[in-house]
Amino acid sequence: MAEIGHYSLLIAFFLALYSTIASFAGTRVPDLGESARRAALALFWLLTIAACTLVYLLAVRDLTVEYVARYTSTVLPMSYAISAFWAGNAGSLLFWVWLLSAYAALVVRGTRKSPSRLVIPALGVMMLIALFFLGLILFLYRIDPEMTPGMVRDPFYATLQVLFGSPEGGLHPACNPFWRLPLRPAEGLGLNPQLQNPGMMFHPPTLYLGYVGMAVPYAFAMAALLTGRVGNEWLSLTRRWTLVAWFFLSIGNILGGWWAYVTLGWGGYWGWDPVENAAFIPWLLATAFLHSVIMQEKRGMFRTWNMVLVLITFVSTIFGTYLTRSGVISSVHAFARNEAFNIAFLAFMAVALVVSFALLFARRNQLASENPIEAVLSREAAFLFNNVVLVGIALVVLFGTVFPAISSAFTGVQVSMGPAWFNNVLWPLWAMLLLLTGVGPVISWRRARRNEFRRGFAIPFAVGIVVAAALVLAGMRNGYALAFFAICAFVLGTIAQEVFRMLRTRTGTLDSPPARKAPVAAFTRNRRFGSYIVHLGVIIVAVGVTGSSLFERQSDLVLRQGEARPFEDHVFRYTSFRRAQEPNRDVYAAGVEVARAGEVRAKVEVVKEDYHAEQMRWTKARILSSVVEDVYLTLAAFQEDGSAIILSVRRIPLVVWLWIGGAVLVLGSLIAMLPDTRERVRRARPASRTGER
Amino acid sequence: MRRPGTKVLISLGLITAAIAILVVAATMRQGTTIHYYTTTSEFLDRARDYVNKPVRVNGKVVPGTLERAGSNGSTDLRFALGDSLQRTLPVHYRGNAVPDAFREGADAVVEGVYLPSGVLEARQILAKCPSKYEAAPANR
Repeated sequence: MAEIGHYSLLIAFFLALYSTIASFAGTRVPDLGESARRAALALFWLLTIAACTLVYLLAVRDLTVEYVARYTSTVLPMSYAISAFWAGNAGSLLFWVWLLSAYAALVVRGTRKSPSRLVIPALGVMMLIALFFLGLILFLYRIDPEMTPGMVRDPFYATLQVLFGSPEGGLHPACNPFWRLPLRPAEGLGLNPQLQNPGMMFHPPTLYLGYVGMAVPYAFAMAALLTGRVGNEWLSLTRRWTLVAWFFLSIGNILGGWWAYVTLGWGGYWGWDPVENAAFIPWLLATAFLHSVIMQEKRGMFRTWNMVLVLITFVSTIFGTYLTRSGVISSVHAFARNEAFNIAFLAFMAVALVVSFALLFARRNQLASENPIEAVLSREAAFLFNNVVLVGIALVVLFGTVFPAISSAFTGVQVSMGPAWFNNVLWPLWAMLLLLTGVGPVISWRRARRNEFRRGFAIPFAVGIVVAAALVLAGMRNGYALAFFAICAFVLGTIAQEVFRMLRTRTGTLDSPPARKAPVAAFTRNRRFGSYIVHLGVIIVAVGVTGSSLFERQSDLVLRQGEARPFEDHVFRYTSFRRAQEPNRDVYAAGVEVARAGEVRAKVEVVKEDYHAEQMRWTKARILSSVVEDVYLTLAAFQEDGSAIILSVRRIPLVVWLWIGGAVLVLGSLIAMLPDTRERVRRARPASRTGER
Repeated sequence: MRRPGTKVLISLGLITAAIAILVVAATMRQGTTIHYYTTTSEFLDRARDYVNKPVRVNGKVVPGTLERAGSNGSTDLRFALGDSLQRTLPVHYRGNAVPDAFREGADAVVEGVYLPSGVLEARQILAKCPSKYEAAPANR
C-alpha cells in the first residue's frame, strides 16, 4: 500500500514540474496554459491518492511503515491514529503540499471563465512551491549508519542508493511518510498523549489551511510583478483568498490557545512558545495586509507596501512551518541533527525573498502611489499606523523567537526571552492597536476636521471615561487593566455608533453616496459590516486577555480524604479516589466537590493519567466555566493509596470571553467574505472592472 | 507613496523609535530574559558571571541527593543538578508542586536565580519536554 502513496508522489513531482514550466511558457502560448491548468488538477488528484494512502496506513496501523510506527500504536483510538497524519514531520509536509494543490485546483476551477492573464503565471508560482515540498519529501535524505543498502526495498531509493550511497551507511529519506522499515516492530511508539485531544485534531489542519492559503495572494502578487500588470487586478482576484487564509489562521491560533488551556494544565493559553509565535506572526502580517489592501483599492496608495506585505506574510508562513517542524528553537542542536532539512528550508526562504524583492525592485516605477498622505489625523494615516504597529509587533515577536539562536551563535550563551519580555514590550503596542481599531473606521479620509471629531468620537470617548470611572469606583486599582478596559469601551462605542448609523442611514457609511435605497444597509455592505463584527471580536478577546492575565489567583490545597478547605469564596472537598486501567493508560482520579456559599456548585473528577507506550504522565485540567471567571482545577499530586491529594486551584477571570470573542471574530470574517451588493452591481457592468476610487 | 506629510513621517519615526526603546528596555530589564544553558557543566564553567541573574539550567537530578522537606502544600526541595561530568550544582526550591516527571535520575530544567552562595534558588522546575510536536530525535 505504501508504494501507491510513494509512487503517486513521484508522479506528482514530475507533473508539478511540467505544470510549472507549462504555466510560465503558457503566458505566451494559450494551449500550454490550458495544459498547465489540467496538470494542476491532476496534481491535486494524485496528491489526494497519496494522502488517502497515508490515512489508510494510519488507520490499519501498518507498522512496517516508519511514520505509522513512530506516531501511532495499535491501542491508539482510531480518530487520533488518523490525526497522526499531521503529528510528524513527513506527514505534515505531505499535508501542506496536498492543501496547496487543493488551493491551486480551486483557483483553476474558480477562474475558468476569468479573462485575467494573471491566473496562469500565478498557477506557475504555486506549482513551483509544490515542487519544493515534493522535492523535500522525495529527494531529501540523510546517511543512516545503522542501515545498509541491502535493507532498502523501495526500487526508487535503491537506485538513489547506487547513485549517491556512501560507505558510512544507507540513505534514509529525511521526511518521506511512506518509507518502510526493514522489520516490523512489535508496537508503535504512539502519539504524545497531549496531542490526543479534539483541539489537536483540528488545530493543525486549520493552521495549515491558513498558512497554505497565503500562497494564493502571494502567487498572484508575483504573477502581477512578472507580467507587469501591477494594477488592482491581483488584489480583487485574491481578496477573498486572503480572507479565507486569515479566517483559518485565526481559527488555528484560537484553537491552539484553547488546546493549551484545556490540556496543558497550567491555566494559561499563551506562553510565547516559539511554536505559538510561529503561528502568530503570519496572522499579524496577514492582518496588516488585509488593512493595507483597502488603501490601495480606495485610494491607490500603499501599492509597493502591499507587495512587500504579501511577500513577507508568505515567507512567514514558510518560516512558521519550518519552526514547528524543525524544532530548531527548542534546541539548537536540532539543527545539526537534520542539517539537510534545515538548509533546504532556509534556502527556499532566502530564494523566495531575494527573487520576490528583485522583481519588486524591477517594477518599482509602476508601483508609485497615486495619492500622498495629507494629514496625521486622517484615515490614511490611521491605516498606516495600524500597519506599522502590526508589523512592529510581528517583528518584535520574531526577534524574541529567534533571539536564543542569534545569541548562541554570537556569544555562545543561549539567552531566551521569557513571557515577561514579550508582555513588557508589547502591551503599549496592543493598547495603540486597540485604539486604532476604534479610530480607523470612523475618522475621515484625507483630513479630519474638528467638528467631525465631535460627531465621530464624542459619545465613544464618553463611554470609555464612564467605564473607567465605574471600574475605579468598583475598587479596581490596576492601571493597565483600567487603561485597557477603557480603550475597549471606547472602541465598542465607536462600533455601536457606526453600525447604528449604517442601519439608520441605509446608505452604508458616512462617506458613501447618500440616499441609495436598500432594504437593510448592513447586509448590502457585508465587507464593512463583517469588519465591524471582527473588530467586536477583537475587543471581546482583549477583555478576556486583560481579565485573565492581570487577575488570576492560584492556590495549592492539601486535602485528606473527606476533608474540605476554602479558597476565597469557594470550598473544595476531596470525596473519593479511583484507579482505573484503560487499554493504553492507567487513570488516577480524585473526586472533588466544589461548593460556594454552602451550596454545592459541582462534583468533578481531577485526573492524572499514565500512558504506557508513550511513557508519559499527564495531568488533565477540570474547568468550571462561567462568564465571570473560570475555576481551573488540577490534581497536582496524590498519595498512592488515595489518602491525600494536593489540589491546585486557579481562578481565572473573564477567560471564557477569549473563546467567545474568537468565535465572533471568525463569524465576522465569514460575513466579510459574502459578496457585496455593490460588487454584484459592478459585476453586472463589466466596464468598471478597475474598481472604485 | 509620493511625498507623505512631514508630520506623518515624524509620527512614523516616533512609533518606530518607541518600539525600539521598548525592545531595548525590556531586554535590559532583570527577570524578563532568561540565560539558558543546555548543560550543568556549561553553566558551572561560567557560573561566576551569572551571580544574581535569572538562569535556566538543564541537567539530571543526581540520584541520592533529593531531600524533601515541608508540608501543607508547599514543597521544599534540595537536590543537586548534574550531568555526566560529576560536577554538580546545588538547587533549592520552595513553592508549588513539582511536575509529574520530576524524580531522581530524571532530566529537569530548573529556572531561577543563581545566588552568591553558589546555590541555584529555583523559581520553577520544569520536567524536560523537548517540544510539543517533534518529540523523537531524527535518529532513532
